[in-house]
Amino acid sequence: MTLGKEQLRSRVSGREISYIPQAAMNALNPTLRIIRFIEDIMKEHRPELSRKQVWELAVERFETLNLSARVLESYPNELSGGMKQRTVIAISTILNPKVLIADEPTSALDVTSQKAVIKLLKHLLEKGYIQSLVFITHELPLLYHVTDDIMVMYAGEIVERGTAEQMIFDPIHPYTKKLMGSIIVPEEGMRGHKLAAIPGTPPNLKTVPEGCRFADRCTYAQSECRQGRIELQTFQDRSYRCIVPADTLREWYAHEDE
Amino acid sequence: MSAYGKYVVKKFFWYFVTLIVAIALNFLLPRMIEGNPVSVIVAQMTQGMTESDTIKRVYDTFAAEFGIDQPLHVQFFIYVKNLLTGNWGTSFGLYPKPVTEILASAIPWTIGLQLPAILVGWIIGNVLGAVAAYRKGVFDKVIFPVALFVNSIPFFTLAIIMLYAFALTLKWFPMHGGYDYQMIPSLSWEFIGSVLRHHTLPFLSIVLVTIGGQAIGMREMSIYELNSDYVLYSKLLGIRDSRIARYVFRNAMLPQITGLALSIGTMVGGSLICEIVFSYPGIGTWMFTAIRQLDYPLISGCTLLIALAVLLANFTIDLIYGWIDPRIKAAQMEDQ
Repeated sequence: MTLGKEQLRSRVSGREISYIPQAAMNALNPTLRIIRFIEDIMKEHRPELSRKQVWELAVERFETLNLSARVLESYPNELSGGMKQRTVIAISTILNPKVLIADEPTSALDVTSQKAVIKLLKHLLEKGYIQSLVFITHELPLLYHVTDDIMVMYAGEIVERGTAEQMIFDPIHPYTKKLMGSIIVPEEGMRGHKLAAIPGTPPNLKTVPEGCRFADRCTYAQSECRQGRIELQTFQDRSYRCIVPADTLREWYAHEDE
Repeated sequence: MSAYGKYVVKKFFWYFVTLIVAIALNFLLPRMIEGNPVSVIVAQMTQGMTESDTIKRVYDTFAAEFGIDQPLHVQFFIYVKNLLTGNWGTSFGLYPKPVTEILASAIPWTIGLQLPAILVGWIIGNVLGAVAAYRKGVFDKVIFPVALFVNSIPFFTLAIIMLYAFALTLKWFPMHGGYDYQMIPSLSWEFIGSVLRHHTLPFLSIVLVTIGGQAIGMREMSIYELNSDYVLYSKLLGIRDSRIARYVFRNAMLPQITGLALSIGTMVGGSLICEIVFSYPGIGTWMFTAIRQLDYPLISGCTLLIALAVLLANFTIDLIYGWIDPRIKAAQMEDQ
């Protein structure tokens, strides 16, 4: 199915697929009251609603998300950071989208606000306001608590995909493996533990190297890694992008851990 | 009292203090001339006069007006009292015409020339700047350099070039003045036509310069706003482009409104060069004449008028800005 730009805008954006931006601080028009912005969204997607109906709908939704109706009459600069973030989430989900893409929704927040945001997102899922959630982040421990499946991307490509459990405790792709090594578990003996960094930097995407994009930084790289396009391999119920068989990789990892 | 009320009172107080300072400077500057200011002034004025009676009369008029036989602070109160009662002094150059009369005759010309020109230039400039930022491509590649070019020419050069091209060479418009000097000002069609013909060239020159400056400012602001996060967010929530353009241009306009208010405030002083080049009978020309003739009362009348206009414009901006931009209103409230 192909959609024109205009159809995409009126049928999908905000309605089927909605979005929570990374910087919620600046995501709201500073000179528009929150309710005016919601009215504008409704004019696009639910033009049959009157202003009063929009108001009632917004108040109801905001109250289920523990935001007072007063927020609706406010300008963005009158809200605190955490409130702005929750307001943005409430606005993004007001049309009950099927998919909500959350682009690092917690990255600029303190831990308490992070927790509130995560709770809010879970609440939205439980209530059925949103049906699924794509959570983009680099905070792996957080991800484990939020998601069912994890997809790891490197240099613009998906390198591995599996359930949260599999990805955290049994990574296959060398990049995922290294990435999971960055998780710190605050327990005894961790103070002396050195975190291993991956040497080098990600490739410049203007000139993508041939072959595996991770090859330059991978400790297991062979000459075949740099030839042709590396396709996603399926292994049981998961997939990964590496030419080495999953069992061999696992053996290497086991050997390395000793 | 509400926070906004307190804010207004505080602002008013500070503008009032500034006004007092401006009046004090206006009062002090002529009195800082070496020796007795009145005799210096009168000596300059009466050069060539031989009749000592006349000189004495002129001297007495000014001595009484300045109250120079009194101590300085008493003089200041006399000065302020005179200002408040509408007695702004007597012009030296056009003795015995009162300064207020000269200013009153000049103000309509200045406002009639500047106000429409600034408004037209401001509107066209902002529309062009917004279009350049929004449509990009050819629009931007044409509008931006042209605006930059027009804005970079010193105003008097532009005015002289226009005068040379359209009045002297092409003879489309008259060379100078506010109307044909053979006519007697009246409300006849002929006179109005003459005024309009004289009005066109200086009007166009101001419009052109205003367009240049405004278009550049608006373009920058619009580009900044177009790249802001709320534009992307609104787009991804499916809001149509025309509405997003409204958000963007409303926000980009905010600093431009300050610019408009300021240029209306400085209108009286800003008209100086334009009016001199086109010999337009407004405040600017009078001020220039006054400076050349060392006509101190007229100079201080003009400067006082300019100071008043600028202060009034700034005060108005401070008052209305909070209503246009909620962020500034918040900042105003925090000050309290």
